[in-house]
Amino acid sequence: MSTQLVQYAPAIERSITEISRLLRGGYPLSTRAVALLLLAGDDEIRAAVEARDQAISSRIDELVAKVRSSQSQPLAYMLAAQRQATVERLLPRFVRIKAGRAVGFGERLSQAMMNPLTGVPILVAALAALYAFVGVLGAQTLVGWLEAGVFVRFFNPWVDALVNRLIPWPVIQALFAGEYGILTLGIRYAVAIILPIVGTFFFAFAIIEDSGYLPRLALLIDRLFKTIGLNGRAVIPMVLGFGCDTMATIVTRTLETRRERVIATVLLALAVPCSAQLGVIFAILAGRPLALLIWAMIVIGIFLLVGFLAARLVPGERAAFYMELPPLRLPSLSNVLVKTYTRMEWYLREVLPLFVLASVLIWLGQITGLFSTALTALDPVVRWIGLPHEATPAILFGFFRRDYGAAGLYDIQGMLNGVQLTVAAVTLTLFVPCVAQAAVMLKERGWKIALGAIAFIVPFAFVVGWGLSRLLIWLRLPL
Amino acid sequence: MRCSMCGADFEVEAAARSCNGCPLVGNCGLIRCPSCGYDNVPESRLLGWVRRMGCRRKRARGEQGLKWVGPLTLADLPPGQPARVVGVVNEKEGGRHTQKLIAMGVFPGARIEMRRRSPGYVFQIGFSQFAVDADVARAVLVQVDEGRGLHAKRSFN
Repeated sequence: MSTQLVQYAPAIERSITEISRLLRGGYPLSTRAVALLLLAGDDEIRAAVEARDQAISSRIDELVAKVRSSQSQPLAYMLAAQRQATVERLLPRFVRIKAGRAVGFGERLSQAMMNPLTGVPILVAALAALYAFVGVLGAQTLVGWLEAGVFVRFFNPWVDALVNRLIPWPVIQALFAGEYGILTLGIRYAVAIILPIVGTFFFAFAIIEDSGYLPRLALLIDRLFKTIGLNGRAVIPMVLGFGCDTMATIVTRTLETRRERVIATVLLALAVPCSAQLGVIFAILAGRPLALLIWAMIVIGIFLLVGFLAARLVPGERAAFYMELPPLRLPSLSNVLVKTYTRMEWYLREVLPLFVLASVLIWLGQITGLFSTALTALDPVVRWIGLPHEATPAILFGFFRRDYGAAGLYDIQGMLNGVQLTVAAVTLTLFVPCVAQAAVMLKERGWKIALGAIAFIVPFAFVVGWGLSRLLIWLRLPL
Repeated sequence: MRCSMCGADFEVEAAARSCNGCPLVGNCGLIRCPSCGYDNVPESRLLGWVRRMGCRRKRARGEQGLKWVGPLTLADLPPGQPARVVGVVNEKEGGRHTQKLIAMGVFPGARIEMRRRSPGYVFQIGFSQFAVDADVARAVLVQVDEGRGLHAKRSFN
């Protein structure tokens, strides 16, 4: 027998002895440990005891209920408090605690981030910096250089020539090169358009994450999120969603109640654009500040409106907000680089096969005529929201991946006017989650909720697009 | 509250139970009287707020407003007021947060200090700071630490 370090209150010690006596051995833990877990209300161990002997289990339940009613505090809390008291008794013998530090710059900055008066400007500044880094440097400078400079000028003509020389059949040629080829479209989209945007976003996100800003933002935004049925903790999946909605949908697991997880999943699928999409949209609307503003207002408005309605309609209890505030720290560069690299590798591994698959599907669709059938079927809807026929492939690609669709839009932006670009950007933002996200939704939330969400999102995106195009034409804004 | 139809006094929580079976699950903003089933309109939040402000001002002028009875919770502490944890609220609603409070190390006798109350509660315990909402803050019972009240911005009565 080991010596007992923690001595609980007499009443509890008595019931521990009684319960241990009832338990026959053969548990991987000592009977005392099992008795403590039972007192603390651990469901797993209770089920294990019940599975062995129902009579003993119900006898123990009675004992636990008796002690519980004799105490003013929850049993689990009392046990933990007594263990903590033992730790505090032992600690001074081994640990010396220096007097607390004076209130420094870090503490003052931390307070400023949480105070609504200063916190909101700090948030706006952080978003502006994020835009400058991801939207301008990533989506415009880097994409422009890679896409126009490297791919369109050198890589694509070289691939076209090579494929034409090696493969004599035009059908197979079209699989690898040409307008929709695996190499000229799939690889180009993934490497030249998406990678720089996602890479710069993940870099910025790693800095924000390591600085300790996110928990403070969570506190600042908690009240607002409560009105949409979430709580401050949900900022983490939501902010991550601006990087990759698929990753963010997985992260909604960290939310406490099912209700929150459902609402967060729907909002991520509907109104949180991923970084690739965001970057391409920024690039398309860059020269049109008014259009960018309208796009942002519509998307934020829909995010809040749908969240507000979902909070009213989805049953379940309100979740509480609680979070540790770690001290603010200057992120270390090596840590940030490692995180960025890990996420980029994950993303590429996730994305490249899908981009290649999309190219193959489009190729298959083209040779079988299915692609043009789908395009013809989608065409009236696209025209209905006021877009030209050339935008149809971009919308159809959106079914494969959101960013793929947005990248398709980037290709044809010269053909669209301001109103059409705004409508297309809004529709593609709201529009279906990409294949990977839909798969994760199915896996995480079950088919009922996933299919329900998609059945709501697709028509909703087009109805909003239609309404917006009518409104913009009627308002005659100089977009 | 009192039902405006039949005059019965009832708890708002008890009314929520009579919402079972209604598809709006208590999100309709009305409070159904458990005895007569009339859907009462609750008092406007704005009016409630104005009334509380009035009470606060009265108290500031030295007039006796509502007297606070019952135990003190973390949510009642002004910023900078040192206090000690007494325990947790053990009723059904407050008990939901027990596991979280254990994880945060909120145990009887621990020194606790409120850092800010808006937009949410931030408190310091040990070497850690935690942000919580009003629900969680109301689940912690505290006692003002008289001996260490020197840094308090306002005294607590």
